[in-house]
Amino acid sequence: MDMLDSAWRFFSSRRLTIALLVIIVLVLACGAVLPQMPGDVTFGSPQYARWYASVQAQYLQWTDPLAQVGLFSIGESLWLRITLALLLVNLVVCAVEQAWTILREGKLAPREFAQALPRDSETHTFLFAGDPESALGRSRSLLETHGYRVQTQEGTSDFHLAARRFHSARWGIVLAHAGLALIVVSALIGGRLGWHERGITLGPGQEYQVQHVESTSVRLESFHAQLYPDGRPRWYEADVTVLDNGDVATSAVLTAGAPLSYGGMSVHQLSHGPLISIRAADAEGVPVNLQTLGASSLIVEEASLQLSEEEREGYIAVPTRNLVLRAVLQPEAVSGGEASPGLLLQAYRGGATDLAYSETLYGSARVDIEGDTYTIEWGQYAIIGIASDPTFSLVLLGAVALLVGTIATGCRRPRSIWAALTGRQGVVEMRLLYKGYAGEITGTHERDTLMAEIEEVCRGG
Amino acid sequence: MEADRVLYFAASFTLFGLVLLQWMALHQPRRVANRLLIGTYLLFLGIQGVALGFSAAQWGLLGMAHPWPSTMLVVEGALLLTLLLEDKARATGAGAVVASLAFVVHSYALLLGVPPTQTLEISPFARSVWYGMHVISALTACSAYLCAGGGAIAYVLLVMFRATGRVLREVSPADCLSFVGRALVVAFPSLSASAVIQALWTYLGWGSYWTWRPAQLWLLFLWLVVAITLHVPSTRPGLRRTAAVLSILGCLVAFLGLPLLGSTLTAVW
Repeated sequence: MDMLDSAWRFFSSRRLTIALLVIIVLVLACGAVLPQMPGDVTFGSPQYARWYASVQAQYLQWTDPLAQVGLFSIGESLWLRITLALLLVNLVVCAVEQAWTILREGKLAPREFAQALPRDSETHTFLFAGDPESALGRSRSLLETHGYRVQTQEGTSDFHLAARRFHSARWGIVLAHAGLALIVVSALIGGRLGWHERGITLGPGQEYQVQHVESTSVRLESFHAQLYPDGRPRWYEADVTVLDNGDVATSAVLTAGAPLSYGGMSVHQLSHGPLISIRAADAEGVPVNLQTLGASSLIVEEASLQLSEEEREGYIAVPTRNLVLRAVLQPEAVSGGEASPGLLLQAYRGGATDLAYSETLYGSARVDIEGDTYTIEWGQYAIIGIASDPTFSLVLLGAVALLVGTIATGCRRPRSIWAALTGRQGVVEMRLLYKGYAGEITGTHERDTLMAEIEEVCRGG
Repeated sequence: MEADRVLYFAASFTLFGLVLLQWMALHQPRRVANRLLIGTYLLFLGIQGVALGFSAAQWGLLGMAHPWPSTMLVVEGALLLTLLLEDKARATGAGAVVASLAFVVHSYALLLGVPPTQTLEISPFARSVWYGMHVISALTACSAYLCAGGGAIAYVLLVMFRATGRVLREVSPADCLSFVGRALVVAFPSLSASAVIQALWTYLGWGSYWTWRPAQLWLLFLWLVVAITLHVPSTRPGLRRTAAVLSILGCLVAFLGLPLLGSTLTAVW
């Protein structure tokens, strides 16, 4: 029982709260200084190896020890999870204790009410000549005009008064602690239950099979990125359809920050990149077949290349002409205050290194290569992300509770006053205890003014 | 010179007048009428408000998240909060320090700050009502933190001068701390709201509540500092000093990190 008491006292301690918050501040400071593993990278993957190599180049021999301590993936580290788990217990214990105190205080008779006030509550004692009963009545009236709910208890020689103001607002503290506890729970379990698939590049008409949900795929119907003159994005519009077992389940136009939700997952429009579409036709206008060189080497009439800052070049073969087209995204050239992306288009005869054609194109264009007309059109492909987080409702609930709790406590600051009046031979001793809300650094003026007013009315002023 | 720039300079002069009046009122309360002080507060708030209106018309409402106009908004908010939170019946010294700090911040932004260019390239992710709400609540919190920092500096100075015997007898350090507490009571819900809305905005944008981006780190860091400050019991003088020092630290963090808030406005992801 003693052990349980000690554990309860330990976890309800404000010092523990402060210590845990300080540890989290230090953790955040580490996270701010050291590079953190990107969220879409998993341990052991090629992306992880690339990212780790870049960190090694920066931190040299310190990389391995820092990685072993988990300082490059603080969100996943055991010691942050332990700190959060301790904070969770601390929050729950504090919330329970607060709730218990509020319920207990409500049942206390005015004589016993002093027990509910903390030992460090402000005390004010004074003597005056008169009658304790009438002083009690005057104090009661005064406190009621200040909005306090007053209870009195009369004894043979002693009288007691208990007054509370905004008592129900104390539930705000309980609510805020409970809300925060829900958020911490979500932070602890969300990473394990949720999943992300990011960096999915889709051109119009392309489909992506969701890795975590076998029956579901996402198709991009159309995409439009409105850009600023320097090429930075201004607005996105991605018309997306979600297919479940091949049937259309839902569709929506995605914009940045407005995802499409379906079956517990959400599809997010993240970014864009340049999409180069190439068509070819001979002198009579008959389409010439093209073949993209990559994972899917399909023979098509219109080939597309998805270029990016990381992969600036792509290849397309023209099998019937024994040609290979090389397209290289050029650094943006500024013309008249506007940046326009360039595309270096080169054609090689199969098996030879001699150039059959080479030119840098700005914007959509038609070029002649060995008697055939090649139409090059600039478009955009969408980069989307798919995520699932089953703790979303829990986080939302916790956030609402935290907000309501903090606002309620801030706006309606609970106050409690207890007074004991003892009369002896025409002299009354009045002892006042005043409590603001826990640990407050506020309200000294209000307290001083109220105590002075009570003293004044008791003295018959 | 543009109209808003002229108005900001006029506001700066008014603020300087307010600083002088506040310090005079602290030393010779009878010579400075309360009405004159409140009138100067209202004059500053009016001029600065009109200037901010011009800026909003020029750069759009979202453009106000840029570090320059947001600093101006924070100064406006801090002075408004001081007017509301300070007990006009008793000189606390907090108002004088807050006004002085606000003047320093305002002058720094006016003389050394770089206003946004005409073509502010706002990111598509920032074109969200959630982003706007997150910025507004963060700026409210920064305003409250400027008040808390000012009150805490006043408290520390009063405690120091009391120890050396050079003291303003009418001014109570406890009142300063009370002002700090009232300001933190505004800062905490605002910061909580800002952090929660930012997490929601991040979730809607990228499918995750948390990223290690500087703006999100800064906000959580600030929230933790204010949470620690509110958990420090101020029943003993030593702990009161700790609470005051933490408030000053929080104020510093708030202002050093304020430009991070606007960095997400034009960022490319």
